Amino acid sequence: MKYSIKQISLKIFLAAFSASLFSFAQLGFAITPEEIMEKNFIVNKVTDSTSQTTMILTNKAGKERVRKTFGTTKLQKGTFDNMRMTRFLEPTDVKGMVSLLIEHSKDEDDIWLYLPSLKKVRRLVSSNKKDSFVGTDFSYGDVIGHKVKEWNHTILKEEEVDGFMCYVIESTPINKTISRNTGYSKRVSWIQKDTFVARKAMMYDEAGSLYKEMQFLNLELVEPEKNKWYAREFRARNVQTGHSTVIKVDELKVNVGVKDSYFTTRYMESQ
Amino acid sequence: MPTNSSANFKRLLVNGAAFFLLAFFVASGWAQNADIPPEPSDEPSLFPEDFPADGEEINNKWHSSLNEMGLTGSLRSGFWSSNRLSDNNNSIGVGSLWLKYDQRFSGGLSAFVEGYAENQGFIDSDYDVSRIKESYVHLRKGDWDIRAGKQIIAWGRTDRLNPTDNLTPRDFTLLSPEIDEDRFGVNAIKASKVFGMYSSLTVAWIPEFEHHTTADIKLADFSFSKTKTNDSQYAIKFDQSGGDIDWSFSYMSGRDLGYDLAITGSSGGTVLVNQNYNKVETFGADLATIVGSNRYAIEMAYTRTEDNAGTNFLIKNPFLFTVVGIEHDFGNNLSAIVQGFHNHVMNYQDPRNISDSTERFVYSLSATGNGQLEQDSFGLSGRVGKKWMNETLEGELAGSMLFTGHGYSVRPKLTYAISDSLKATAGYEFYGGASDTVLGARRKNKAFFSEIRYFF
Repeated sequence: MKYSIKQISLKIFLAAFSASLFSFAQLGFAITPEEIMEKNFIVNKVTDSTSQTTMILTNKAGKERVRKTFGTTKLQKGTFDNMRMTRFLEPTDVKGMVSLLIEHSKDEDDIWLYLPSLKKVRRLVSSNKKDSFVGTDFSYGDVIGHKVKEWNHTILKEEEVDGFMCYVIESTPINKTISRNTGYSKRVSWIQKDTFVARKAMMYDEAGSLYKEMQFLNLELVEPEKNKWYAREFRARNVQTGHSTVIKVDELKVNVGVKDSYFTTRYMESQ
Repeated sequence: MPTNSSANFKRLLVNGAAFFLLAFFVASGWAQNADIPPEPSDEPSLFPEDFPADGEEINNKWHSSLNEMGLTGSLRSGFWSSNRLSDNNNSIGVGSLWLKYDQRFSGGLSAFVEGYAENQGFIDSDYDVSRIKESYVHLRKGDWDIRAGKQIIAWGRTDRLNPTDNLTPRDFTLLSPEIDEDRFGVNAIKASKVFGMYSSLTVAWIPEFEHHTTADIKLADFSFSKTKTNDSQYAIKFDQSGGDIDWSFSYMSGRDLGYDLAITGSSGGTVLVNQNYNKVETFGADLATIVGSNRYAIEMAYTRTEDNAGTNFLIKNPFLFTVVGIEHDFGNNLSAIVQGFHNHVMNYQDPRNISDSTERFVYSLSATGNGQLEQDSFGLSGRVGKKWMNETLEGELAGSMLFTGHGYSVRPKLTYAISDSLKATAGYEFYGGASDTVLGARRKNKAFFSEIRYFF
């Protein structure tokens, strides 16, 4: 039996359409997991901000170390790519250290670091997102946000967290490079259904074992007209080492008119 | 004396400029506090003073009031099995107090002072020193940055080996586990104009020359002395930091931070040798970029001297010094840097061919110290860094090797943060190879070191 090209194309289209209808009908979701993660990726991307944070690092024995930082962010024009500057205030041995990160959604990010002891700004390799962010249990990738297109996403189920209904999304890296660069073989995120803010997350290491648990607390609507939310407290625990981190946003201001020129190496050198 | 008057006048100019900036803006700050309307500005502060934390106070310490005044510092206690003076002193205890004052005022003005007082105790003697490393005021206004006072000006993008970094001196005798602490400021006025987001033009005037601090040369039948010069230095740099590639071009006219040896005569059987810091002009360039997991950097400088023909052994020849490096990030807080370097001496003449034995010895010694014993010198330097336990423990293995003459150095170091306030460091400095190489000549300086720092 022979089919014309038109007939074959029509059959393929109908088969694909039926399959997609079936899968959505079966799971009962009117939104794709990619859309959820895209909305989650931008939900905390405010126009600009200044903030002061306290990071409390606690080891397995309960011994604490504290870092205080002052940070600014600003979205690059017409994008959801942030520029972030973080100035370390405490403890004394890191005081004056400044990092500048310019995100590029279609390319590698740019990172510079100013070390007061060197009196110089130095450009850093940015492809590696798995290293600890200044000794915390958050990686650079966790802080910047994992690019949605670099992961395959699946809705596992819906579940309540702290009284809020959430989508439970499983994300796996699209290739081994992403897994190697982020240090994760899988991420599971609990995304609040109505706001798309993350409530908690679990990360699995490259070998597939549970690695970190994260919580995002005291969520605040900071730009109501744009549905922008910000967690005032971030918690992460490395279940393999017992080390944990709490990041408290002590002070946060959004839409304060931060200028582009502040995100330059010149400002990093201002002591 | 005219020379001293000239130096004092130049010093007065730099300090006067610093004082003027400070006085003017402190006064303007007081004026603002006195309810006089401030200058209109739509710029939010990028510093935290305007954003006091209202959250829970954590780990409140006795020194927080000092920190609020802009004062921080550290108390240090260390042990070195040898000093860096190439002598036979060993088992040295080092105690020091380091203080740093860092304060911002209104109107974009800030002040910075850092200094230390140190006691080095030998078995049979001890030695005290106190020094100001930097003390300057900085004004940031619009597209301009102006800094006046004693300041460190550090240029270059390669790692630790910087051909373009020739404005402010280092103290190679300082006993510190942190190599970069050997930088010291000079009285200077530096102004930068920013163009757009990433480019800037910097001009620096250093009215009073200060050379590197090196170990005194002690040789039987020789007497070495240093000539102090008060010449001004000028430098200019165009820099681009941002976009895909960071780069700069620079020019410096001034004095060489390292010395040339010159025989000046003899007295009672002793040969008199002067350590001269001769005039140089340096044209430099650097570049750094990231490709994948690698950082590539190149830095080169051509230095013209007063002996461009290369016929005078009392003055080093012009030379082209190039450093090319690659840094790879392996992840898991492990990174490594490997750099190759090359020094080419123009119009080279071998000092080992001088017929007079005294001259041959002195000028070969001078050429060894300046890396000019051979026309072309090649070498490698490298550094591997690793952090463990959420950056509580940090390890570093640094080293360098000269292919010409086979000198080498190795420096392993471990630092453990006992708490936020207390850090312990231990390491070893090893020098080896032929004694007529820069590194081999330092064999007497090989040392085990350890230090505890209390930060406040």
